[in-house]
Amino acid sequence: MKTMMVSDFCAMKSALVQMAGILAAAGIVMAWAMDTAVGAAAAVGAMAPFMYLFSVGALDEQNGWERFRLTLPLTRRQVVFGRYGSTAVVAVAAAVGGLLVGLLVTAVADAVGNEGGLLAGLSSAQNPPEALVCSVVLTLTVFLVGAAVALPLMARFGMTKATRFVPLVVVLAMVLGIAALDTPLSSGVLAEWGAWVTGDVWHGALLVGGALLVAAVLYGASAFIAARLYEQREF
Amino acid sequence: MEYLVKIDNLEKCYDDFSLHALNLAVEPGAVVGFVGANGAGKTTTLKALLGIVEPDGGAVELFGERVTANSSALDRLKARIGVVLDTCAFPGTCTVKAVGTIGRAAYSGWNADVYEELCQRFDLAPKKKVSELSRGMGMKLTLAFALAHDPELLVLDEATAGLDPMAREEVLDLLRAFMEDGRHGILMSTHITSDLEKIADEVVCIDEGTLVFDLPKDAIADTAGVARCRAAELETVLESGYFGAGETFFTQHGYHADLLVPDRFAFARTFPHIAVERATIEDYMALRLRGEHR
Repeated sequence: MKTMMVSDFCAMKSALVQMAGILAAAGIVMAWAMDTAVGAAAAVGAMAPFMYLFSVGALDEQNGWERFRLTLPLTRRQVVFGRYGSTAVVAVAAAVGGLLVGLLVTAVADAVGNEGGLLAGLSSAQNPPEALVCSVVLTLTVFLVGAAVALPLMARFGMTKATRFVPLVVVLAMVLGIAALDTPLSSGVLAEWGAWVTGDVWHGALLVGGALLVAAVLYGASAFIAARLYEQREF
Repeated sequence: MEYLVKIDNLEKCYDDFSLHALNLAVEPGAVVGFVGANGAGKTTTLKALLGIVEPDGGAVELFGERVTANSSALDRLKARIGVVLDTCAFPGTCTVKAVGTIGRAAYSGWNADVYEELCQRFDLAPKKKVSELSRGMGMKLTLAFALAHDPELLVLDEATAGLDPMAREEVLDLLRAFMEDGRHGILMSTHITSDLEKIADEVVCIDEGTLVFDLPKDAIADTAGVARCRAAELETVLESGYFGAGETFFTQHGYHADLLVPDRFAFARTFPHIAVERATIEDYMALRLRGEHR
């Protein structure tokens, strides 16, 4: 697993450095343009791991690397777990990066003290730290769920074929999710749930933490499915 | 004897191609050349050997241990193998130095000094990216990677393809040095049969997934020959009963023919008026694979 993570980071080193610079700058611009640090932090936290996931998947198919990698003393299970590990590390780092961008933006806005002016929406009063934390944690949650769907498909079909299936699966999941929520019964439950969440700040924190926990469990379970699929694949 | 590689009755079926009961072995101190036309099944055999594909039948043994795809034994034993496939397979974004970092993470026996020395010898600058390397330089990088953990077995698939003659000679020198201590072995799939004439001890040829011949190189390059006959002389030889049934391989070119003879000295004694030349591996292979057969 360590070998796989090292190889992933070696292959993606320059891209990750570039990505960090570009996304930090993009996050600041987005915060200014959207007049919200919370949204910018979430955007940075979401973009980096998705870019990583698809870039590192594409590198697998370059030069026959995926095939050659299997000649190293690595089990296929280690290959898959290593990929899940490196992706999770990048996702957490991106969440921290997004949070830092948000905090930096609010700190600058507070220091400039532009009340009622151009930077008013970026102040820490409008973007409290707990809101920034919630936004990046929820982004991380969404990413983990997305990766839990995409990675087994990539393990089974390879990046090129998987890109045909991933959007289909995501759209189907969204349609089914909306259909499930769009019933009188679920509307009532959602309304009650919404009231409970907004009733206390700790309820919100519990919801966000719980969602992250569920996503992490899903991500872990997905790793075992992906490993099984990858073990059956021939190159 | 403990073979480095022993393949017994290997079978692998695809929709349009099958390997049939293939046998192959590499013993310590031996360089085995693995030849055949494109699509003959060489790469499939190597993939089965390395666990990249699961065989449908037969057995693969590495260093005396039976292995199957995804077995823990295979993954342990792969640490004793160096592999060079037909392309430089590292991601284009990696630098030469980063490839060394991957090697250090992958192999407990990784020797960074050997890797750096080989990179220096091959003019591979540490900061150079894989995407910036020519095909030849990429193959040298792969060879440096394959040798830096002191493997006991090298598996080479077209490793010298794309190299200029000087670079090829340099690589062959490296392989000769690798073979010096007698405990190492090489399984070398290649279309450049002249390389095998310089380095191989044994030549295994397959065609359409079936073993065609497995001979010591000297039996081909020293003992065997190609008789350059006129059409009438060919008929005389064929009617003489010199060759047993199914042992004659020849190609006809208008009024003359090339006839494969397993022992050119014996043939010359029997047919002194027919010119017979030493066979190259390429001659031998071409006549066995594409010659008329009686």
